[in-house]
Amino acid sequence: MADSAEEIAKHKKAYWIVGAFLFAGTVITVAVARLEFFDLGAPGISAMDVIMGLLIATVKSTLVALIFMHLNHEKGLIYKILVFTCYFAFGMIVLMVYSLLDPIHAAF
Amino acid sequence: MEIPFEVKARKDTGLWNAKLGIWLFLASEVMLFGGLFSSYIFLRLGIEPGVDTPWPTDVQKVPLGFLNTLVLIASSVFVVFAWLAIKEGKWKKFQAWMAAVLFCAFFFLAVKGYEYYNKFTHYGMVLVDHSVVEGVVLDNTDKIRFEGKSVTIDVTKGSVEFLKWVDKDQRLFFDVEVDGKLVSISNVASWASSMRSKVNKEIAADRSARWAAKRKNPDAAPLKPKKITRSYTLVSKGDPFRLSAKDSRVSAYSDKEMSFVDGNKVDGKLLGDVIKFEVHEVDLQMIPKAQQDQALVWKLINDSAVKAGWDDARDEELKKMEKYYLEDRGLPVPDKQMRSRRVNVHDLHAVGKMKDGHTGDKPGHDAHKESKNKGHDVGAEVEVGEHHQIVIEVPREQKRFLSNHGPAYGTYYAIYFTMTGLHGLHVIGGIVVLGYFMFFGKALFLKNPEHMANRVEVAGLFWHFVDLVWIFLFPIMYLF
Repeated sequence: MADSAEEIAKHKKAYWIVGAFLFAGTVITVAVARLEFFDLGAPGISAMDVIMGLLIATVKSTLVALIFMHLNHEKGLIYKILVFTCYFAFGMIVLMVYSLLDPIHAAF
Repeated sequence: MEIPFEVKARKDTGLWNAKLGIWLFLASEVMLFGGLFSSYIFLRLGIEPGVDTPWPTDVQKVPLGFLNTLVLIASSVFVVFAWLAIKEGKWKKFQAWMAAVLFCAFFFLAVKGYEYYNKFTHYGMVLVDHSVVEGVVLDNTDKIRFEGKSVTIDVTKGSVEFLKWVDKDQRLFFDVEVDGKLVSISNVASWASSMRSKVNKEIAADRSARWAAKRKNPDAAPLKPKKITRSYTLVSKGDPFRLSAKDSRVSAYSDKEMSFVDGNKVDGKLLGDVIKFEVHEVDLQMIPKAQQDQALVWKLINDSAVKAGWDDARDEELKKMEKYYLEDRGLPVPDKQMRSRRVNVHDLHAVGKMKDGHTGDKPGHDAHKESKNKGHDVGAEVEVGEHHQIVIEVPREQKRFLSNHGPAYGTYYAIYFTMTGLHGLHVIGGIVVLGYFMFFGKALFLKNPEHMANRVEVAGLFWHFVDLVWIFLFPIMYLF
């Protein structure tokens, strides 16, 4: 996180812009999911809609983490902690999804 | 005692302690929510449409979830500015921003509370042929209604299950014959408890006496157990009492008696076991398309105009699918899409409009008007409930499963409540900490503003994390 109030004051505008981006991202996600005009892929909820929705959510959460949580300029130890955590968190998700491809699961 | 490294960074980590602490805590939170998200993904991807429990993809009130997302994002912006105000040494400004954060947090919880309330007051019923109706149970008819004149209780168990289901507005007075004397009872639970103790003591004493006799004279014929009355019949002194019992607690019932799982047996008269259900939505994704026209739900609704409205909605969706796959791509419509909820679910919220469209409104006839007519068909008015929806009467034997939209209703609802509930607890935790800083932080701010700024920063990091979790929860729970 920035060290002084002066330094952070420079970023005031950036905080509002990021807030606006987050608002806009939410509006786009709802539009993709609910409005036919923005429908991606097959009618209704398709895999493309889900991918787009989760992609927007990922961008939004990255903005929150980088700007609001000041991860864009943090100490190395925090990055190490997060990389270590994310490795296991994503590993858990990947293993769960991978288990659905299990031939034994498929047989049932 | 001065705690070191509250403000200044340690040389080895380059961080002040609380900051390292909050990031370690957030790392554990990532794992916690990561586990829940991966469970969700596993369950969601593993669902076979039309085969497993129907996966409700569009049951949430999207505008409310959308509003809550914006509110939480706004609170995340405000908390940064609150921290900034502290860094600038402006206490009043800090309080103003923090008040905005807390307002957003309470607003978020209020909306969530409203959503939860709606879930717990809306029901889904799976009929024996697997057609699903969703809506509202009317007049408490999810329970079996009975009018009791007397109740027989096995006092050795001491259980009075029937009492739980007696309608609350009644006072119960019973007469019961104990040892040849008529006893009046106003508190059944307390009487049953004291009788349990008395009778069990008598049983134990009799058993001891028989053992003692056998020890004294092993060759003599064993004494017969003493006749001890275990079951007592309590007869209502006044009017018969009314019960509305959950069927899972009733072991058997007939027109004249009702037995509970603990053995309580109520004699009297069955008042009703038909479930009155106001239908908001029909979901046929568990029924093959070829059999949908014969689904039980249509027999219960018994209105061809409603069925025609459902057919139109389904055909419209199928046309879209066919255009996308067949016409534009030359591919057959995948079976998965044919079985999907989108094609097989129809919202009946505009019953009146639907009837107008399909039956032709007669002059002076208001299709929205409530009517109690039964045996309805094309053009006839159907019985409508409090939300101006069709009301059906479902014989209990035609019900496979009935529940409100609580965690018991299905996998989706279970994980929805788990994840949003846990998230809600985090919001409450954030409110407590941020509220404490807002109302009680001034002393520390005056003493050591940097220390106060660090505390707000740590709480702010937690708050951003709460926002970050919701950013993913909203699309997966409300939209997809």
